[in-house]
Amino acid sequence: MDKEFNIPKLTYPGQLICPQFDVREENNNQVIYNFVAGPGTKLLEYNYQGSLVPALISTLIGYTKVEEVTIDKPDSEGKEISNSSTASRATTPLNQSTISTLESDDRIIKNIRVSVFHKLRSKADFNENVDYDFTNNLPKEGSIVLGKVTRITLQRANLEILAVENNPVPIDSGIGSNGSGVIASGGGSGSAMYSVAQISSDYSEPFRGILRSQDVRATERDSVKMVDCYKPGDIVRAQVLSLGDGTNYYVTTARNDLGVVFAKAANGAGGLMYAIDWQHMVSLSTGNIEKRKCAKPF
Amino acid sequence: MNVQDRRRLLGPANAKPLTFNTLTTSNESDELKKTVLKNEALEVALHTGFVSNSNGSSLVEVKDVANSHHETSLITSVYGPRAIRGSFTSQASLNIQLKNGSLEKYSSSQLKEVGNFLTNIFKSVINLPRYAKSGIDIFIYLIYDKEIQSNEKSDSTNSITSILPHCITGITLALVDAGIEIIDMAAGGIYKGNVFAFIKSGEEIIGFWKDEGNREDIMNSIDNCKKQYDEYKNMMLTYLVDKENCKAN
Amino acid sequence: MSLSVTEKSYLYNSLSSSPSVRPDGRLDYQFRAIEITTDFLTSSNGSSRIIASDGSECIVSIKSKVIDHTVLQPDDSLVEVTLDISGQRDDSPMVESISSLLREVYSKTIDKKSLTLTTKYSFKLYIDVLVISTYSNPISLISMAIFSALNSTYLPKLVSSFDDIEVEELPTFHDYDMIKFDVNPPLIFLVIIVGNNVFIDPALNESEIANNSLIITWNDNKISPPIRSLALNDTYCEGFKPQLLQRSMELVEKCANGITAMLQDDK
Repeated sequence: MDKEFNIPKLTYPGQLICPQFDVREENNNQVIYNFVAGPGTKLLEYNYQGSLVPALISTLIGYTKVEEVTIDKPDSEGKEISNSSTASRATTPLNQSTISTLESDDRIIKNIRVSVFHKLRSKADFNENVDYDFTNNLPKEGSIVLGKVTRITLQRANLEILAVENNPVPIDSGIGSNGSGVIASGGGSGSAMYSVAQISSDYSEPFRGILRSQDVRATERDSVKMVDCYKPGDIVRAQVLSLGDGTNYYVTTARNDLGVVFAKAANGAGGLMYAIDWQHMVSLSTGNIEKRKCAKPF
Repeated sequence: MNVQDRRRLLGPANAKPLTFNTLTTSNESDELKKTVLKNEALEVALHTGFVSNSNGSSLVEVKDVANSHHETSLITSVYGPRAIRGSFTSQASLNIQLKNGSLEKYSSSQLKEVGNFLTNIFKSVINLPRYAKSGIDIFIYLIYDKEIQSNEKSDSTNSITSILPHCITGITLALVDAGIEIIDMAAGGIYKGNVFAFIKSGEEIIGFWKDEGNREDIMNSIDNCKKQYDEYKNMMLTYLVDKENCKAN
Repeated sequence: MSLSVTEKSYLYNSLSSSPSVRPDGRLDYQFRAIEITTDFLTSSNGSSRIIASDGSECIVSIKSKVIDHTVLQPDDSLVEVTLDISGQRDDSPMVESISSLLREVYSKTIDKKSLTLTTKYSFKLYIDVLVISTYSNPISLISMAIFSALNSTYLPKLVSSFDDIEVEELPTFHDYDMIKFDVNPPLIFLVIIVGNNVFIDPALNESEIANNSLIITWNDNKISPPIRSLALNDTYCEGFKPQLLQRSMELVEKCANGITAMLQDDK
């Protein structure tokens, strides 16, 4: 697809990738391509022959990735597109006739997302669409994060955010829960790659999250006992509810696929434990069972 | 040992002083793979990604052969985006600091003012709304900044103004190396004491600094600065694209 | 003052449109009203107090001291500026950059000859600036306060001889008579750029949405260095076209003489 629109493969900051809209004639239908700015790109207005043209530019040095996406809110987005395209056309009287065709139904709008990835390690990364780079992958509302529990109280658990999954995963598919390329069942081993030292390569402190007891699970939210759900040191998969205040993100685990993914027995003194149901984990060496709110691995 | 030092915990009497092994580092990793680019006026050496504990770094060494016989070398390192303390911010807060190298040439308030000026420039370059709740810290270490031989015709060689374009180049390179989103490659030029920083192929000025000269010079020097901006930008792009291609192969 | 996103957007649109509308109805070259009192500190050689209509207030005191200028280094200045902004740390970027700029402006523009007493001795001026309250960037206000303070400065009258290189004597002064310090101090203007428009003397709400701004010095009836660009906010920072630099300077040239005359008349 990138060849079709003449999109450069390797881009540098400030380089124009493509204009926001492109119109093609395909099977007697007008297809409007709306390019959406993905990570590593930005939509800016450029002055081209006296008029302002919105165009996508690259903000990183790296490789472009072009993919077709569906936008969740076709009402607002679609209207906006048709408005702006008719407005730009209305200035030229020659195209009067096309306005009527534009407003008819034989017009197809395709949304194409263009992203630029900075640090590629292999071809596989490119296909998996997973960015190892924390820099351009800060936690956002809705993004899934992996965090380490640092402290628990009756009301909440404090987390240090270790990694952000690149794409928010739909509830029905549990895959991609590790933020790294290798996807294995049972939680996978990918998240073991993350260490606190890797997040930010300096002495600063990591981003923090707060998990309130009401947000631990979706049912019986008021009778949650924090000690029965998390222990300090557990690695928890959680979703960001809001950017929160200056220090903390607010996260939730009220979903089947969210919760503890890694925990060690006996407050960290024992070995790794494995989930046997959504509320219990077992230590293989001792057979002891501890209570946790586990993430559904599949 | 009659006189005992009571203030310190001394080791046993037969203790030997602690000595360290001499560091054996492989030569390959230490060697800076600099790219030297030349034109009639400037000799520029660029290098990125060598400060291992920072997110991005750059070394800029410039030898001004034509005009001022001025030699400058500076290291820029970029830390962040990292979590900040305090209240919520919807976009990254940027902080640029300069530090004197072995030559204590500039006063601290001068360095602060220049740091503040550079911060102002890069506020319009970095895609700050992308980084909520975080801070980006940039440190510039002025290793070396000296005239090679005194030249009476040279202008403003001894003031901090002359290093501003190099700082802008250094920061841009380090930001690109760190993978922090910037809307364009920023670079600057200096002519008759006027420093201009540009983006968007010279159509937009993002910073202007003038410490000496006349009002009449200002508009005339824009074109000269733009030329230098183009040169710097081309050098940076040549370097970065080469490096990226090397990695890909 | 923190404005909401919609308020900022409204302000930006009204300032960047053509013709533009400033929130307080001023024209692009109009200043806000200021109130100046001079000579209110009896213990200093010159003083002024300036109050802007938004409540920003600044006092300036000028003191002098006789020093031996033969021992000065070539780059030592006879003018020293210290700045204190209440509510700001002394090492905050804003205070450091403004004081560095003021030092640059006043050490270069005030003529050393006007401070020379004898062949050996000179006056050294200490300009102490205290910004009591500030609601927008105070640089322009400070320069106007220093301007009126310098214009109301009286220095002691020398009664001993001018040539004291042969005779080792300290300068002596008249008991009562003072001489008016004769200077033409510089002024510093702040111009903001919003879209394709330029405005002088921005209020705080205008600074919040400025795409960029320029600090322009006016000395000796012309624009002179230092000139700097300055970002007044974090969210609206953008580059500007070269023509806007030209227009900003023309805007300053348009109103600077009027401001100078107004400040000199004020007695």
